[in-house]
Amino acid sequence: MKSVFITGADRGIGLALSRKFLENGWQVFAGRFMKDWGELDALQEEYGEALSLISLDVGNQDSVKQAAAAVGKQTGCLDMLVNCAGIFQNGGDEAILRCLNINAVGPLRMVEAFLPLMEQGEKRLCFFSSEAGSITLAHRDGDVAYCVSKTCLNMAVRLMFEKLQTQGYRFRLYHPGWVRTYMSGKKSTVGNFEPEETAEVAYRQFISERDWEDVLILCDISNEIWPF
Amino acid sequence: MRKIVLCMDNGNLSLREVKSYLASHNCKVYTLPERDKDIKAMLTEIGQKEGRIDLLLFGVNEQISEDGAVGTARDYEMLLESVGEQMNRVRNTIEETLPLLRKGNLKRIGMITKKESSISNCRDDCNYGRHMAWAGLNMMGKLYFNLLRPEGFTFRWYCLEENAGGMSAGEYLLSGLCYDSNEPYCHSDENRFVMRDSHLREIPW
Repeated sequence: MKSVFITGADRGIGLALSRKFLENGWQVFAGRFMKDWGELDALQEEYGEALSLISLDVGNQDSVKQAAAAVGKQTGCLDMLVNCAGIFQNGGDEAILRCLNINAVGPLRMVEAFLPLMEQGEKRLCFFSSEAGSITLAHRDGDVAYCVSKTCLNMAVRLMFEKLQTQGYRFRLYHPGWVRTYMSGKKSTVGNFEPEETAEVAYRQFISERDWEDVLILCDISNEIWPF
Repeated sequence: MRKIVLCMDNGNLSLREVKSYLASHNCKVYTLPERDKDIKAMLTEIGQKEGRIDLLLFGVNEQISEDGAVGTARDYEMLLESVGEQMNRVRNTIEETLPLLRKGNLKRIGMITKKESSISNCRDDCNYGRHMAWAGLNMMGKLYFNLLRPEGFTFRWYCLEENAGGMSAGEYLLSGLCYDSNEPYCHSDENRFVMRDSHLREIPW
């Protein structure tokens, strides 16, 4: 059975993606940030041992290390890591630091903590980026913290890619579209897609093969490519 | 007319050369102090003496501590702090300087950056703090371009390379780009946010 770790799996896209992988027979390790949010418990009742709930705060190095250790106790081999956890905040200095910590530095923490477990697996690293990180096509004149954090994520992925792609790792950098998510705390009532819709496309992109794995691209829900 | 330049000094050695060029080309160059309180005092002084700022100039910080490729030991807190500090310092400085920039003749914000700030072109695999900060500042520039270009602000993002020849950073910062308000928006180079090197080659983001 193939295995995947998904961060930010409590709700929204992360939860929908966890269900998608479970439906397709994967062993899913779900990074859980909100213990009181019950949707992952319900999913576990449905899928039993195929779903492991792992406490995780991607913004905290100790938490990330503990999560990697907890997975390591259950399996010696992880095939895929999906970095889905993200926040959206507006404001001053603190908002920038919080968005950077979760959206950009968090995925780097995760990759570095889980690399030892991935060496024997399919070596697939997946990241949820955003159109908000595309400098070329940025249309906003605000949302500085979020946009900057996604651009920093894209650069961090570039640096990882340059090192790991030659070692057989495969990268997926995905823009999920405008989704009715919980990124601002409450489920958004506006957007173009439900979490399940973008999770469906993400799943297909994450598991599919490409003939040109030596190119890093940002690809969206319509399978269209965005410039950085 | 003499141009009034306010320049951040963050240990970027190249920036010092740019400042010298500007000072010798009819610019009065002020250097931003480190502390917020002192920045406010300097802006008050410039406001009283000059009444405006024509060019606000930044340089990417090349002093952010080095780190290794993915999988090597890393201080995440230091990484976060160094990137965040860069973002917040530039953002806060732009915000505080805007009233004087709005009174300027150029209404210009410039950045002396590196080709390695390009996510598309970069082939490095280490020094996460530097690269993330450089790329993040490019995005911040784009967001301010979107916000301020309708007011007539202009932007110069210049990739500096040693011994590359071509047009110097100082000259590019002061140069005009084609613009005709009567032409369609996309017919003016000034209406694009671009990063160029000393040979005026456009570097993709």
